Amino acid sequence: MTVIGEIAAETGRQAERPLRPVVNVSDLPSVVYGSRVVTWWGTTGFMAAEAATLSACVASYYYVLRNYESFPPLRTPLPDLLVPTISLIVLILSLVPCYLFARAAKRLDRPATLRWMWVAAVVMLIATALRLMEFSSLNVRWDANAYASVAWAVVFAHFTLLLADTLETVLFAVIMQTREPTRYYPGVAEDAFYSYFMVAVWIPCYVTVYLVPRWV
Amino acid sequence: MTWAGSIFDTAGTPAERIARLAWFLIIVSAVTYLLVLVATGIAMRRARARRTQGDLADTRPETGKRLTRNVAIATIATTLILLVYVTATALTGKAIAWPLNARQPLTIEVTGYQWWWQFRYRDSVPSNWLTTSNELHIPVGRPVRVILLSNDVIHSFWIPELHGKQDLIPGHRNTTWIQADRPGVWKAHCAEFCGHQHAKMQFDVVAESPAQFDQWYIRQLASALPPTDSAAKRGHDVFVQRTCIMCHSINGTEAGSNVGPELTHIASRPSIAAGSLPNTRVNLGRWILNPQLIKPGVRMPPNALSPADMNALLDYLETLK
Amino acid sequence: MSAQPLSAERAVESDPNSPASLHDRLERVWRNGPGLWGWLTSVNHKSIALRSIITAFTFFGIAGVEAALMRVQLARPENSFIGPDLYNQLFTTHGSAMMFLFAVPMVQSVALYFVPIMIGTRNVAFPRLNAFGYWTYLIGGVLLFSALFTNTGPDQGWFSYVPLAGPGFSPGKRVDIWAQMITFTEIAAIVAAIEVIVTVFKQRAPGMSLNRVPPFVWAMVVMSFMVLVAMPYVATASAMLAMDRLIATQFFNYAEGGDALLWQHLFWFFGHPEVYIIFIPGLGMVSAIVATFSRRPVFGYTAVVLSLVAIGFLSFGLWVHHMFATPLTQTGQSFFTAASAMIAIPTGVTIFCWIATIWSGRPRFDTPMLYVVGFIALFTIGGLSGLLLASVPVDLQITDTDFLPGHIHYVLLGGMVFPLFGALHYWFPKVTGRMMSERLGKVSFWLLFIGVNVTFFPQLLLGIAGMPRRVYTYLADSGWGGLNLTSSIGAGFIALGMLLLVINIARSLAAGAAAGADPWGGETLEWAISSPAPDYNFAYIPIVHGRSALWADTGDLDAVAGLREDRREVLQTTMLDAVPDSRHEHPDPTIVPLLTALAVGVGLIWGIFDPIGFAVGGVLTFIALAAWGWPEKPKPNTHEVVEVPK
Repeated sequence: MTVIGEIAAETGRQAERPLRPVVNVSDLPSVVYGSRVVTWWGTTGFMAAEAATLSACVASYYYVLRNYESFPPLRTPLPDLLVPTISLIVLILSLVPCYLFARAAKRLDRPATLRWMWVAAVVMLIATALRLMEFSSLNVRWDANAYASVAWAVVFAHFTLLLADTLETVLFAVIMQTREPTRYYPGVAEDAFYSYFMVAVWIPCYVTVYLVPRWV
Repeated sequence: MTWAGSIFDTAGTPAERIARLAWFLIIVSAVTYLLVLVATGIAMRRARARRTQGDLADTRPETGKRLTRNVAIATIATTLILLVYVTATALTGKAIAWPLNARQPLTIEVTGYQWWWQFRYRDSVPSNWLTTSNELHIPVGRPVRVILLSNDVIHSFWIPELHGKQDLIPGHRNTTWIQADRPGVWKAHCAEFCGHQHAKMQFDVVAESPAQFDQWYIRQLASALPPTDSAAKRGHDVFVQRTCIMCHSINGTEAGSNVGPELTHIASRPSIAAGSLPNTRVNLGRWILNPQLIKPGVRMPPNALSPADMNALLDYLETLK
Repeated sequence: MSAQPLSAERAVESDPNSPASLHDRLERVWRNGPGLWGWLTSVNHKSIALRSIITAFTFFGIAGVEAALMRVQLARPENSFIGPDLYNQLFTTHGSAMMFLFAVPMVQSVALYFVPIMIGTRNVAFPRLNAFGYWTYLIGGVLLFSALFTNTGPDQGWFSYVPLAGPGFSPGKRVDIWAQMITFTEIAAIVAAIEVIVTVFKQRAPGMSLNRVPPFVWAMVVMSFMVLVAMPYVATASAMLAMDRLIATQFFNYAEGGDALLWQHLFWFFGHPEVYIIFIPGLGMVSAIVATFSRRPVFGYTAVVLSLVAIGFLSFGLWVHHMFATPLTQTGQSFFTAASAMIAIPTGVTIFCWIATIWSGRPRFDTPMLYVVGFIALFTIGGLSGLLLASVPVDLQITDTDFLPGHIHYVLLGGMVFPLFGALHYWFPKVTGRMMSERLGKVSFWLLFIGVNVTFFPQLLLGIAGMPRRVYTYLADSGWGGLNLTSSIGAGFIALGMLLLVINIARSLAAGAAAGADPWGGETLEWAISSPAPDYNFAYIPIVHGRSALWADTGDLDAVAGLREDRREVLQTTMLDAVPDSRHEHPDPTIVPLLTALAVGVGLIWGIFDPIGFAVGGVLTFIALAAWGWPEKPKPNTHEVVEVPK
């Protein structure tokens, strides 16, 4: 790198095109929301990659399904419905505080933002705990057969998203409680945006893992 | 046209049809390629001439229009060529499918092992089922249905002179078919990477007249004759008392394991070590002594036999015609 | 938009200092910290992209030496230079490294270096994420080659077909190392893809509406979208493989309902787009070079860009043509043959457009342009030989023979490496401030061009002659000795060409002629700024008035003032029309990305040996990410201007 530094000194900035300022942007806002922010786009990019991952798991599920004459395989019980369904309902309910803190964040309403963030964090922690219980609702160990492996894979892949989102919400809540940087409000709103995605992609997974074995 | 061992050295209908399609595609590709090169060359020459004249880039609208037209023509031509290509492919695909009106087909079950081949000839009479290793005989002019199985990893069955590849996949039961239209002796290779000795996983193909084939079949069905002379007797004892018997079988003896290739008629085969070594006494001795030197990683362990035992064993194996 | 037009006078008023002191102020804010610490904490896109390019080039060199060793082994029949164990490690790591550690990171690094400059911004959208991506990539690459150098390199092939790669037939940790290397590089690739997309969507210079984005940048955007969809598939597949091996899942075990073909579907759903992920950026580089050296914008901008997009889409419909020899229905065959044929149309269109560009241009045949012509000559062979492979009946004969390595090397050397070397000669002056030697450049071009043909054309013939691929040796009576020897001699030419190229780089670095800002008379914005580029890229963000940013205006460029000069502030513009929209403060240099990458590294590498490692790594990663997200102390006189949504 030093070599390049020397060359810079030597050749200087010859033949550089002069830039003539004609527009002043100093009064543009520095905190904006939604798709005006790069982080919104970044989050969307990660959503795309995560959706692709989940689709790979779900596609594998249906691929393996074709290999069985009876599904789920013989001597493998159906997954329970109770806990997964409660967990699904809790997940969907968690969107209410998410929506409320996002709305508050868009108005820079600190008390409301904090209040609903903590509510959301608690509900999502409950959802995470329920998800951990869901693994036993599958009624089969991951290594029993390929059906078990893909079912675990779908639930686990989504579990990582849920866990990440929950931790993110908790972290944001702590930051907002202790620091309250203005520029974090759009990020808080995006946290809710990510939660919508996270819950939405769970629905086809839920149908695949818990309902499809009952239907085929 | 007959490049020995190549996909153009055809001896059966599917390979023949594929070779024709391949030639067609190669010629079309070569012409297309030349056209692209010529166009590039002309573009460069034209441009160079303009450069020496000191002109600017030719961005006149009429040139642009002409170029748009030419690019469009080239694109349409490409599309038409591709249509012909897809059609020719589909027609050939149909032509090489299993003939539904095939009469008296022979059915052979091929099982891939790391790193050798087992062939089981099916027959309506179960006692006429024949198992051989690393050597495939087929009668000329008779369609052969090939069932592809694997004992371990994925292998691929390929006799370039007869047909394209088909994979042997554990848990799947694939089929293909071959038919030799002329007699011949060919080498076939495993065509899917299958571990250490993928390179030396071959087999010999012998296409012969139906009469010769029947003869061969009957001979192969027979059990090994008990050894007569004393050296061969001692060799037989070596075979059944040492480690050989753990993996190999010889019909007519107590050796019945099928971990490795069966050896009932080993002496009649043109090669050993899955087609990778000519079947001579010297080679066989080297192979038995230390197969790891010839096929490193092969499943067969070295055998520290005394020279006398080794000679006796070789004497015995040579009787297994 | 709340920006006001400024007269030149007012600009001077609000900026009373001379440009030199403006340069100093921006430099102070944007440069890396001093010394090793500064190197480890850098978040500058050029520093990171450059080290990534050097890293990828190093891996390319090692994988190239592996190829040379394989060619020595195959030079004559039944050679005993290398045994099967080492040979299998060599070809596996050669393929894996070239794909995952060279090609993809290399094109992404070139994108991360030049895209921000070409679209007129100061840095990529997420500078710390960018640094994190590099460190994970580095760990993954070092992991793979450490394994190779300790003789535990993966030996199951870069495609890791199960069951050969499964727990039953590949004991030990070789395959696990491969799978984890995939995870590292996929994280890095996805991160880089998001960087490119978001930077291009949100940080383009004012006036650079989407229909003015240079084809090079378009190519990188298309590639990045493909990465987002394709890479998760191989990451999922390799995670499944690792789980089958580590905690006895049954994804690929047919005895328990799993399926070996499931692996092939997942792998090739990634693996075929992968080839296009690698060469679409090559097409972008060719576009940039062709335009500059033909002295006119690329002919048929719209056609070229739409073709790039079409190639991106179609490439996801071809994966099954890697699996024709597994059973496939007749309809399936026809569909995938037709889809494969279809992709030749947009590819053809791009090539026709470049020929038209040269045709109507005033081209100079400097080394970069030679590589473009070499690209056309080689890549077309690759593409046409691909037609043979996409035709099911012919494919059944030539797939898994030496035809395949011949074909893929024509495609990848022709379609990616030649454009890359063209790009190297083209942009070397921008990166270093010095020109490369034309004479050495031309000699090494010809050596490489001849070498590629002498090496890989015989391989096409060997495939037709019936030689299977991935064999460590062949028998003397096979009749393949002559062609193999020729191929090996060709590899010698390539090695010589590479050697000259490296010498050229070294010599030019030390004593190349000074380049100045714009040695080629370029079309795009990177040629507006000094060489090497300053840390902040542009003193003022330029305003773009046409597709050819620098040719549309001669003389001074209109620009934007008003971004803060006492901190790292970048301009965000609207996604479609690039109207100035907001200002955004970027983070200062920080060690956190490196620590996060190390935490991920601990998890993934420990996880090879014990699942508990994943848990520990997960906790460490969370701690690192919490530090990442924790707000910095606000700088003095920060005035946030909030614009809440209506």
